[in-house]
Amino acid sequence: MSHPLEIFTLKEVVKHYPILGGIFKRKVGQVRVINGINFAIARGEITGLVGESGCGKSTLAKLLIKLEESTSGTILFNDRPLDLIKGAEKKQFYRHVQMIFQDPLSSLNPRMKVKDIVGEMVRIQGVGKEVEKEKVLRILQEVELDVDAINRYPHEFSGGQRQRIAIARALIVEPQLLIADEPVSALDLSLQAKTLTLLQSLKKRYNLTILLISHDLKKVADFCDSVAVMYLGRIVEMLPADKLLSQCRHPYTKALISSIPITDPSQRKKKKAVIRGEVPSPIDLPPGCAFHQRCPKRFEKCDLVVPELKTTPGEDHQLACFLQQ
Amino acid sequence: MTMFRNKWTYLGLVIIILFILCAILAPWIAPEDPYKINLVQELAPPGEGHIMGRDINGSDILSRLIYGARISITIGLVVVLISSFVGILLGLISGYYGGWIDLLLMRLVDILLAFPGLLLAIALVAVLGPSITNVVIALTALGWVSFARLVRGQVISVKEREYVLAAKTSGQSDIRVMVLHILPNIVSTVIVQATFNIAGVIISESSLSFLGLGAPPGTPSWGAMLSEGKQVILDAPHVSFFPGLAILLVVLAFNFVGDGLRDKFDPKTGRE
Amino acid sequence: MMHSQETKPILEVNDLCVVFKTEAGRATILDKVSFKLQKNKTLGIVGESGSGKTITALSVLNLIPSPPLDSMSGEIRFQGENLLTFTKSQLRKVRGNRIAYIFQEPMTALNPVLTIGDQIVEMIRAHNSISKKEARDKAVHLLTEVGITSPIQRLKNYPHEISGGMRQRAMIAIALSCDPDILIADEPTTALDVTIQAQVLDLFKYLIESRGMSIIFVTHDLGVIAEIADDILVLQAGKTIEYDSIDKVFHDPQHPYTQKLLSLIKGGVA
Repeated sequence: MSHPLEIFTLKEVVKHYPILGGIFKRKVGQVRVINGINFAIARGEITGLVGESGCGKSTLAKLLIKLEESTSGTILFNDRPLDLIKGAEKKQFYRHVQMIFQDPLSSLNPRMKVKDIVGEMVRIQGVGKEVEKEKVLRILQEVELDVDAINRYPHEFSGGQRQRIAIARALIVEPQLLIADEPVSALDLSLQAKTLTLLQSLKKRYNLTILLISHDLKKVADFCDSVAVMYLGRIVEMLPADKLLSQCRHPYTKALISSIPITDPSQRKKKKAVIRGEVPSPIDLPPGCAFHQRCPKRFEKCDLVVPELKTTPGEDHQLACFLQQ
Repeated sequence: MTMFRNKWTYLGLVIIILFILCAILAPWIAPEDPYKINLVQELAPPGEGHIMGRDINGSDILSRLIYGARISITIGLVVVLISSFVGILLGLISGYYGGWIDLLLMRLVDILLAFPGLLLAIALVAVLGPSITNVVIALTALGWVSFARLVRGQVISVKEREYVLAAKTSGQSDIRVMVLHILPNIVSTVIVQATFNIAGVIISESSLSFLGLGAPPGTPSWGAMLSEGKQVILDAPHVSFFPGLAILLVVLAFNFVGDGLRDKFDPKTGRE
Repeated sequence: MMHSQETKPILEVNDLCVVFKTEAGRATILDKVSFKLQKNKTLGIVGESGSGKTITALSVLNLIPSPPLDSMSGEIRFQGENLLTFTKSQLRKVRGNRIAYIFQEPMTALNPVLTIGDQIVEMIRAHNSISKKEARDKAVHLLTEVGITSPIQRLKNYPHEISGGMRQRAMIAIALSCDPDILIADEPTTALDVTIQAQVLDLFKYLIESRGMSIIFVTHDLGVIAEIADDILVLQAGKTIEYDSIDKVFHDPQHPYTQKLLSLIKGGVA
């Protein structure tokens, strides 16, 4: 069976959480976390998903890995609707899609030994003790951990090592897609680069597709093939990663890039365009383009109509902005 | 590094071990048959041959105390074992799934907790008929509630942790997730609760026996011994004093150990 | 290693040693750390986790809890006196008043059951005997100064009712309320989104200029340091790795550790 070009295809995906109030717990409002996402994850690529807190990127990850259900819209996994995947098929699904989380400390069960944390992923498939042991040892080797790690507990390891245990746990089933939700933000700077390099080499070895969720634009620009920028539950721009820092077009993306602290103190005197205001609350979503209140280039239409994500003709660049349409 | 920071915890442990030994070794260490009646020496104060004195039937109080330990500790352990098992089960399901199961269970818990526990126990035993078995049934029927509530709360706080999410996305069944991932991480609080509950059960059983609702008359339950002593409390205070002291010491002991365990398991003051 | 200074520094730390009591015995957390804070300048203290940078910030006003603190030695010279010799009541007069702190997580540093207004007023009146009304007026000025819109309304808000960026500004307002000479900021922008971080750093720059403040800025983010610091102290495992002006350290780092850190932020994935 040949695999489709897109591992995940999302069409108009919406996720709203109801706010219940009063004695009878009636719905008094909604938290509109995701508001119409059209997005695809191409097989074999490293796709980055960036945005600031509250943009919905972590919720999107939870939707993809079936920890949450979408309110409306379709999510296709290898052309199959995600909400139809249940029971035995769901168990299979988790051999194809795996996730690593942000906090290496809380993503490992403190009461389980490493061999069980990593091994149980294949144990539940019924491979037998011998096969399990062999696979565990092999994957631990691949993430550059010592063999004697198997009998130790998570708290005996450093943050960077714990994250590698988490990577081992995710990759032991040899998934098609690895969702990495801020995998290095909690690590020291020197470890961040090491861990991302490891992920890159593992990607080649296991023929992985990776979805990297991060708020760190520089890392994403370096590490990913293509990048999607999220704001208030929508994708506002999607473009090749090597164009992110220099050729982005959406005012929000531009603001994000200009907010990154410069690394040369002598450049300090240059006046930077610091974007004003704060992100509106997802409970009280402004009409029209979600960014219009803070956009330096806004005009009337932006307040009223939501811009669609459109592909610039002739380019591999999608943009949701009236400025350039 | 010492097991417990607080020295009182060790005292509590010693007392508990002592009483458990009394309970197990009762036939060998009790100086006399606890049921033996000696009408010549009724109400004898503490002295030779009977260091705790004799009760209204002339039976040796020390012997009755030692045998009484059996009743108190057995009931304590049995009730807490069963009620914790039931409570953990219900608390796990309630906390993990939420929804209407949770709503239903918590309303039931609230209703049960609205009544003063002892009154309910008295009512239950009165309906079932006074006996040790019925005391166990009544106390278990009420005892699961504190465990269920505790476990449910713990499950709710643990189930959103990333390692639980990782377990959920491994393809394993919900039961596996609950038993292998959530339960081991909340078991320490359950143990602490259990320790305090044993103390509570011992008091409840003693109270029920004191009211004549527990062990049949003549049985050397500490509560019953207390009750027998209340008629002669002015002339022969030793009859009530020693069983009362026993209850006090054992309950205190379990509380000390519970405190010590709680401090030990608290990540801030001890180690997990 | 040290650059020449013509004027007397406003804060001078000499051979600061901090020792902790741990399960495994005594541990030296800071090992003879020395630095000077010049008036109207910003000193950036940089290091990875475990470097001791937060402990350095806390030690200036003896805010390290004991346990685990075992002993501190050295000198912290402020206005001619050694702060390490100060009694609790002497320190209280300095805290908030002459030297103020800002922390990383405003949600835990702010009292959740008091309004923003109450907390500023409380701080002001702890060190000045002025009426509540005067203190409230000052609070409004402060909130405006830190860029909070509708300040009169904000005074009545509780910390959880306002956004993360505004909370951080509120914390800065509280820190400024008694016109301190020195501001010690421990990772004040780490928990913020990058666009909000840019706003807050802008605010810091404005405050330095308008108020003539001297700031100690602790962070693990070299990019932030590059934006804001005049001098930089690099720590690793409680020891001074490098200490010099920002231009010198960024363009001509001496120690391999500093060079490695700089390469990580300039280059991409190593």
